[in-house]
Parts: sequence; structure tokens; C-alpha cells
Amino acid sequence: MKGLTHFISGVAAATFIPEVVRMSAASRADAGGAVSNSFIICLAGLYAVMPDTMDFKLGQFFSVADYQIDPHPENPDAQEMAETLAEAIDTAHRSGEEIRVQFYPIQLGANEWRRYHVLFDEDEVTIQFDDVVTTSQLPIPNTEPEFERVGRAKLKEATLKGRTTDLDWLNKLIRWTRQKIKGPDKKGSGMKPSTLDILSGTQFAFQKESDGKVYLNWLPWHRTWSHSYVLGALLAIPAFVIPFLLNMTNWWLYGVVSILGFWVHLTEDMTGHIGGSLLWPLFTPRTEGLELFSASDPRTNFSIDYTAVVLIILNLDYFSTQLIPINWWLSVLLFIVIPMGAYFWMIGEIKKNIRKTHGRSIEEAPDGSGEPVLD
Amino acid sequence: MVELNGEETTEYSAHGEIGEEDEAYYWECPTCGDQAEGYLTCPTCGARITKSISLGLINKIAFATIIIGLLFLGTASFITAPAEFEIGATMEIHREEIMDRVDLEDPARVLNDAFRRIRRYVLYPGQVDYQEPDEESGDFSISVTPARIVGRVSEVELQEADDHFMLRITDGDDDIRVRGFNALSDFREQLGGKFPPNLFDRVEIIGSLDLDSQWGAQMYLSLPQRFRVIESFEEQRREIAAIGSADIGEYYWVSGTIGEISRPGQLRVIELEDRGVRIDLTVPDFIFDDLPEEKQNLLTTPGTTVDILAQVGEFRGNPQLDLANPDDPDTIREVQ
Amino acid sequence: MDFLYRPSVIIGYSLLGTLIGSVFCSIPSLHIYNLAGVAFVMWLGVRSLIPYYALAPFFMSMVVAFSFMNTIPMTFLGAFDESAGATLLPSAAMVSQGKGKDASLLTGIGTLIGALLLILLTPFFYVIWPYIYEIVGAHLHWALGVVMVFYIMSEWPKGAGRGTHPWTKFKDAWRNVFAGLFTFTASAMFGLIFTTQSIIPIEAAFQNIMPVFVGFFAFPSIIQSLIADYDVPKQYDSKQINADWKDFGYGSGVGVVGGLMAAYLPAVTAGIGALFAGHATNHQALDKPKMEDPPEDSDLAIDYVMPEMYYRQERNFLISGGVGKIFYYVGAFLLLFVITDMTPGGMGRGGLNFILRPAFSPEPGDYWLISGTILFSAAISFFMLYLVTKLCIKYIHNFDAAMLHYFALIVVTVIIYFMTGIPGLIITAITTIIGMVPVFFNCRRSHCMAVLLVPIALNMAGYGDLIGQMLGLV
Repeated sequence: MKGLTHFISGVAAATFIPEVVRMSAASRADAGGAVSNSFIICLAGLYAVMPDTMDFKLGQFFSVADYQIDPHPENPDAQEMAETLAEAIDTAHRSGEEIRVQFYPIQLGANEWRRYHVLFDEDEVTIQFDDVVTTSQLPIPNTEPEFERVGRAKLKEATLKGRTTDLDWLNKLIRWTRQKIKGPDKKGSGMKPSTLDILSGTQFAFQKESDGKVYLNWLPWHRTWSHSYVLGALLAIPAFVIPFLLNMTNWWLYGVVSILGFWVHLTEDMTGHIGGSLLWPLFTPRTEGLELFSASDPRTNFSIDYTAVVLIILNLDYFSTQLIPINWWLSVLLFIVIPMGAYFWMIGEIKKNIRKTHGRSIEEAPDGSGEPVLD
Repeated sequence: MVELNGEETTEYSAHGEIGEEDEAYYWECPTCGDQAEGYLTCPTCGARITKSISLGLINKIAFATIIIGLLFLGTASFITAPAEFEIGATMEIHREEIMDRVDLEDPARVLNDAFRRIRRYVLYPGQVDYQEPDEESGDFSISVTPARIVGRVSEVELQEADDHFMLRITDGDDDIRVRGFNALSDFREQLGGKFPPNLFDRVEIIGSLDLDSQWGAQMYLSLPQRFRVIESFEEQRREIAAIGSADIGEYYWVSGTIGEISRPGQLRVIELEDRGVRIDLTVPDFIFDDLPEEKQNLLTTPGTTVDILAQVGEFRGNPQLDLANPDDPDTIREVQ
Repeated sequence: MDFLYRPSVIIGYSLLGTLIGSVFCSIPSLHIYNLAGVAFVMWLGVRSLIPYYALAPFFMSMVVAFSFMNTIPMTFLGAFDESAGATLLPSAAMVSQGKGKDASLLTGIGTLIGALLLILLTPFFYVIWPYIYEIVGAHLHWALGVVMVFYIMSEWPKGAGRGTHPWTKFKDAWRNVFAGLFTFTASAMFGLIFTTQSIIPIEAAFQNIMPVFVGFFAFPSIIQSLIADYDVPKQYDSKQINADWKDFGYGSGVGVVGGLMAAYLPAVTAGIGALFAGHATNHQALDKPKMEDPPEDSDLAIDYVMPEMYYRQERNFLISGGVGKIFYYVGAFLLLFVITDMTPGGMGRGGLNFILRPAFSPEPGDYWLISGTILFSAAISFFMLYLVTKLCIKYIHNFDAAMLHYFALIVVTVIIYFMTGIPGLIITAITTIIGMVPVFFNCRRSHCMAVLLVPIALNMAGYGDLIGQMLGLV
């Protein structure tokens, strides 16, 4: 899920606690709370984005890679990059240690980046350069590389795999749940190609597992210790202690709201492809996710954002202002169920349209230079 | 065949026929006009070749919006003009529809009838609003905002301490109170010497007309910009013979000799005569009783010639006179 | 023909207002409160000249024209005000490609569509919006708090994090995050000082806020342009708009959400609204880039195909910027006139209400008058934008950009001097220094809005004095 989705669902979760809403109402609204004008709900939002903040603003910098692949802006060598990557994987196979490889983006100007892809096969890695893109990720015409675009390197010893097989009980539980919901995992899934273009790079970790194959772990620093229910509870301690020391009314609610925000984030993330180290520091390995939707799927993000906003407003009214003259279930029907139904219908039509366009098989290469193909 | 310069959005169609293929491959970029050849993204300017809406169409839409906007704005400014109310008619509605019935009938029904009658005065229904009858007292009110009345000022009352003012506006027969709450200083500041108005000035007032079952018919004025003196009062003298129905509502100095005095009910009708023409001056008892004794004697002594500031009113189609400002003793004088 | 008198007076003044409003676009960095403040000062001067019933249409058409015509300086002169933040990058990029006409007109059509949508949303404004207004109104302080928390937390490191040691990686990536935090804090501190030290109430302070906004947004842009020493290239005079109707569909949704948010929440500008709306409604990922098998004769590993959805983004951005802008500037005014049983005084927000209360007293029926004014004035303004855009693309490359920027610098300084005197210039100098941080360190410029957000949120919750005392300001 995206940051805003986590944030807003954390806020929405907090508004389900009646006393929190009453505390937050302005004093003139006279919602009957023991205090008023509180900013307590902001805590829910703050804690709901914290796991990703810790990852992207902190955690990723502590993951120092063993191999740094930082291509030359003007004249990158795809072959050399592929060989370095292959060497890293083979080293992981030989040593049994976890090896991390960091790729960096290629910035050519304020608004120009060279796009390249990292592709994995069981026994081969490939680097391919594409054209220059703008910061909005759009290819600039006539910028296909003049240097050698593709580099391929065979793995000497190692065999790659995209799913881990060394599972602890928690991960086994999650995989079992996912297979119950979604059916058996597709073969070969997990070794997705990576595209690098703007702003930040990417990191892979390679670890030999008990079956002798090397497990490809994408973004090994992401959703590890930061995505832990235990850590959420620990981080909420100040939110209990400070209000207590300041002798604030309902001091314990500040901590509860913080934990709630943090836990909502973790729970939402479990619907994606990467799970989290849910019980860190008790159990450290990162679990898989339930793989119900991809994290960037606009449909889930938008529908959760919208629903959360409506729920916030309904809750605020229900617990403080009490202005809405209709039943709660009718509100839910009118303002959530029906609009969301219409939304998903519309998106369905758009998706159908998109698929139709692809079916026409008139496509151009990303650089805009492809010959249109007539079918 | 690829149609790239059509009126509307053109979708690239691949179903070209043999022989038209060349055209399908070589097209102009809609933005920079360069040959984009087979590209979908123009190599010169980066525009997407297949996405274009002609500016002519956009201009047509904008032009249509001007017309729609003009009609919309014209209609809206016509129908939302302040509702015109005549003081007499307003007071009559209030009397007939509210005061005469309110103690006898169901308040909701009275409100409903009065509301329907008031609504005939407005073009835009939203200008009339009402307050449901109070459960205990049954009091209700109807208000029209904005409403416009024109009349002469017959009384000015300023409550400096509370920053309120009250003007009584008359059409000759009936009058209506116009109130401004917390507005006196604002009106003075913005209107300068034009506020408060002089007695008998003809004024235009746009505000909120309130027909209340408890407080009567009143107007509320909150904006100084909506108060205007149409005509300042200048003292004029008119002979009785010259007073006609066109003068109703006007103020004149009138001289005449007191003739017959009758008392049909709670008022005195005093006949004034000048050069053989007669006109009635009516003085209700509550006004007469407040007059200084000297003035009472003056008005009740037949044969005396008096000079009075009077307002022309009407009784059964004929002009008659009322004392314009009985509070000011100088407006009733004996002619020696 | 008496009945034609009132309509023709109103239409006449709407036309006049449209023309005068277009002139405001030459003043960079007007915030809606500035605009209301300027309008109010004008009103004091003209109230005896304009009949009362034509006042609201006159001012409304001024605001409508402004929201259209400020596209010109935003697109061609790089005079980016805060709300332009939403449309900053793509329009600048397009002008540098010679597509200034497209950039300007896409924004303009977006604004025109926004005007139509404002009218079409009338039932929503009357039936649903009063509830949102009243319910959230009782919780506004923390709602602003939530906006700020997300705003700060969502500024992610932009650097690639190069280095072999955590600290070097951290330093490389964190420049913009640090700069953002610094700008936010400095602006908030400045805002607290500005609002607590001044003897006038916080709402009235908005009228004097022009020097602050010029310092935070206009001057840094001008200085940036001067340093960059960038000349506008020759522009294409295309007969087409490089977009399709679907773009307007996508763009309008984002614009409406962001614009409504900005029109409702005090001190939340169209730029901040657009950030939230963009995050919530972005559907780019609906169609992902495809990795297809390469052509047979190629030695490539994959054929990477960008879906059309990606190409839409730039256009959608401009369109939604246009829609959001008119919701922010015009919608905020229009809501003043939405009178319902729940909101008998209309739904103008705090500062705006305070400034305009003496000038406008909304009455039933005014909404329709104002709606008609918006439609009429919007379409006229669009044509004016079209004409000025044509002039711009014809002549702009002949102009010395630096000269224009020096000219803007002088004009704005003179305006500030006349409106606020020497103290205003000092305030501008201080805020310019803070406003330069985002320019040089590449963080969000809207962080400067903390100057209003923080004091307003604290004051709404009643903590303004307390914080003031703690900081030793009161």
C-alpha cells in the first residue's frame, strides 16, 4: 500500500474509538468528552506511516552492499555489470553467506535518467539499457543507447530461485493461508525483472538455502525489523509514558491510538507480496505476504483511501456532532457501497479497454521508434 | 486510414488497407507540425501523435459557455431581483392572513396560507423562508430576503447605547417599521450625512421583510449600501383645492379654517376649508390625547384658521389629511 | 425595457471584473487571502461607484479571471506561485520543448472544465457538503495537524544513497529531507512570530500576508530563474491540443478532490491539495509497463513498452492543476453563498469570511447569480487566456527573460512597499531566505505554508497563546 493509504487508514482506525473522537472535537462543539481540542488522532497517522519511514529514511542506509554497481553515465558497460552480478551470486553460492548487491540509477541531467533493466533467470543474469527518460518516467525519443545495450552472464555454479524454501513456522503459516485463499503458487514466480530509472536504486540479497539453490531476495532491507507488531508496541511506550507524566486525561489512549496506527499498517502490508518480520525481534526472518493485491494497485489504494475518508466523517459525526439524519447502515450503503460499486464497474470497463488496445498489437518500442505493426 | 487532423480525438486505427499504408506511416505531429514518420511520440517535440483535440472545437465549447453563461447570468439577475412590496399591501396581507386568523385557526394552516400569498411576490422561491410554528406558543414567521419597499420616513428612533435604529416608513395610509440591529454606527460611518434620514425623506430600503405572528410586520436592514434616499423632503405648501389623489403619501403645509368636527369612533374628523373647498383632517384619539392642550384647543375651535404639516392619505377614494408629525408642536400653528 | 436594466448592469460589471481580474495575474504569488484582501481594499474604494447588487458578480468575475490568467506567468515567466507548485514541473518542461501553447491551454481548459464542474456540483454543495463542513469543522484543528504530519512524513529521500558506509549513504540521500524539515520548522516559527507579535487578530493578519508569500514563493522563483539564466525557446503554434478527452476525465477527478480540499481547509493551498489528491487518486499503475518478447531479429532481452497511461501523467497533471486552481480560488468564494438550514451564513472559511463579511452578506438567490457569473466570466477569461497565449508564443522568445524577471522583481517590491511599507520589505527579505532553501535543496516548496498551517491549527485548538508564551512571544 502507498503511504497515504496507510496514513489515512490509521487515522480512520483511531476514529472508531468514541472517546478519541470526543477528545478531538473542538471545545465549542461540546461533544461531551472529558477534554477537547486534542491532537491525539495525528498520532495514529504518524505511527501509521512510521514503518515505511523507518525503512526508507533510515533502514535502507544501514544495508551496505557487498557489491556496488554504479554504471558510468555516458558509457556504461552492460556486460561488465552482468558479470559482476553473476559473480556476486556465485560468491553467495560458494560462501554460504548472504551477499547484497546495490544498483544505482544513472542521472544524466536535471530531468534526464538512463533507464536499465536487471533480469534474472535460473542460470543467467541480464542487464539491458533502454533510452533516456524524464523524471516522470517518460522515454525521450531518439535516445536509444549507442553503446552495447545488453550484457549477459551465465551463473557458473549457482542456481537462482525466487521463493525461499527455508521457512520458519510463521512463514509456513502465512504461505499455507495464502495457498488456501489463492490456490497453489505459480511456478517461477518471484524472480521478477527490475527496472531502474529515476531517483533511487535497488538492492538484491542472495542467500544459499538448504536445497543448494540461491534465493533472490529483492529489497532485503525493506519490511524487516520495521514491520513488526512487537516493535509497534515498543515504539508506543513514549506515547503512554509522556501523557501519563503530563497527567493528561485518558493518558493511556495516546498509546493505544499509536499502536493501532502502526498495526493497521502492518496488517495492510500483509495483503501485498512482501510481508514483514512480524514478530521481530522474537523471530527475525521476513515472511511472505498474502499476495492478494500488489502494493501499488490503484484500485485497492483508492478504494481504501475513499472508504477511510468516509468512515472518518461518519465516525466523527456518530461520536461527536451527530448531524447526519440517516442510519449508519444507510450511510454506509449510500456513501461507500454504491460509490465503490460504481467505481469498480468503471475501472472494470477501463481495464477491458486497455486489454482491447493491447490485443490490437500495435505497439511501439519504449523509445517511440518502433515501427507500427499492422495486424 | 489514419485520420489525424479530424475534429475530435482521433484514435490511431491500424486497420489500414493496402495502398493506404504509406499514409499510415507518415504523418505530421499535431503540435510542432514536423514529419513524425512512424513514431507515436514525435521525435522533434515529444508530443504523442495520436492524441489531439482541435482548438476549433475547444473554442466552440468556450463560445457556447459564454452564451449559456450570459443566459444563466441574465436570468438569475432577473429572477433574484429584490421582491417589490407595497407597504399597504404588505400590511394588509399581514392583517388578513395572520393577525385576523392566528388566534382562531391552526397556526400551521395560517402559516401555509400566508406563505402561499407571499410567494406570489417573488420570482425566485428561495427568497421566501419561514419559521415553523413554535410548539408551545404557536408563533411563526415568514421572511422574504431581499425585499424592497419605498416610502417616506415618518419616524426615526435611534438607540445609541445598543447601536440600534428604527425607522417608520409610510405610504400615507399604512406604515412599516424598519429595524437595524447593531448597525447604527456602521450606517452612520458608511452613509455619512445621509443617515439617519430626515423626516419625510422618500427612501428605498432593501432588506429582509419579516411577517411575524407575534411581532408584526417589520423589515430588517443590515447593509448600508441598501439604504438610499430617493428624494429629500423639501417643505412645500399646497392649497386644499389642488390636493388630488396623485398626492397620496406626500407631505405639504396646508392652511384652512376649521369647520365641522365629528367623532366616528376612536378618532376626530376635522373639516378644513379654504376658498370653498373642503378636506377632512383625521386625528386618532391616541394622537389627539398626546397633543399639548393648546394645540387640542386650536384644532377643536371651529372658525380658527390653522397652518399644519399634513400627510395626504385616502378614504374611500378621496384624499384626506393626517397630522404629519404631531410630536413637533411647530407643525400645528394658528394663522393670525 | 425596465426589466433589462438590472441584468445588463450585472453583466456589465462581470465583464469589467473579468478585465480587471486579468491584471492581477501580473502580481505573482497571490494567495486567496491576498486576493480577498486586495479585493476588499478595492471595494472600499468603489462601493459608492458600483451598485450593491453588482458587487458580488464584480468581485467573483475578478477572481475567476485571475484563476485563468495566472496560467500565463506560471507557464511562460516561471513566476510560480505556491499553488502553481502542482503544475510547475510539467509546464516548465513543456515550455522548454516549445510546447508552451499546449501547456497553457491544457491548464486553461482544465480551469474551464473546473468552472463547469463547480456549477454541476451544485446539488453536492447543497446536500452533502454542509454536513462535511459542519462535521469536519468541529475537528478542523487536528485535520490540519493530520495534513501537516503526512506532508512532513511523505517527503522521501531523493538521493540515490551512494556510499559504502551508512552515514555516507544517509547524507547523500537525506539532503532534501533535512531541507524540508528545516523549511517547515523555520516557516512555522516565523508564522508563530508573525501572528502573535502583530496586534491585529490572526484572521485580519491575512490581509498583510502578501510580503510573506512573495518572500516564500515569488522571489525565490525569480532569483532561481535569474541564476539559471534560461531563455525561453521558440514555441510551436499548434492547431491542436495534445490530449484526448479521457485525459480530461482523469485530470478532473484529481483536480476536484484536491481543489475541494484546498477550498475547505484553511491554509491548505491547491498545491498541498493536489499532493493529497494525487496520492489518493493516481491510477497510473492501472496499466503497468509491459515486458514483451523482443522482435526476432533483435539481440535485446526484452521489449519494454510504456503504456499510454504513463504518457497521460503530464497532461493530467496540467489539467488537474487547472481544475484544482479554480476550485481553490473560485470554489472557496462560491461556497460563501451556499446557504442551507445548517449553514445559514454560507460556508466560507475562517479568514475569508472575516475579510469579506463587511463586503458580502450572502442571501438566497445569490448563489445563482454567482454561478452565472462564473460561467460567463470563465468562458470570457478562457478566450483572453487563448489570445494572450498566442501573443506569448509569438513573441516570448524575443524577450530577454532576465529583463522580465528584473522587472517583476521591481514591480513586486514597489507593490509591497506601498501596501506594507518598510516592515513589509524586511519581512519579505527574511522569508525570501527561508524560501530559497527548497530551491537549492530540492525539497517541496509548500513546506513554507507552515507559516499559516501551524499557527492556524494551534489557534483553532486554543493553544496559540500557550505556545506563544512558551516561546516567549507574548
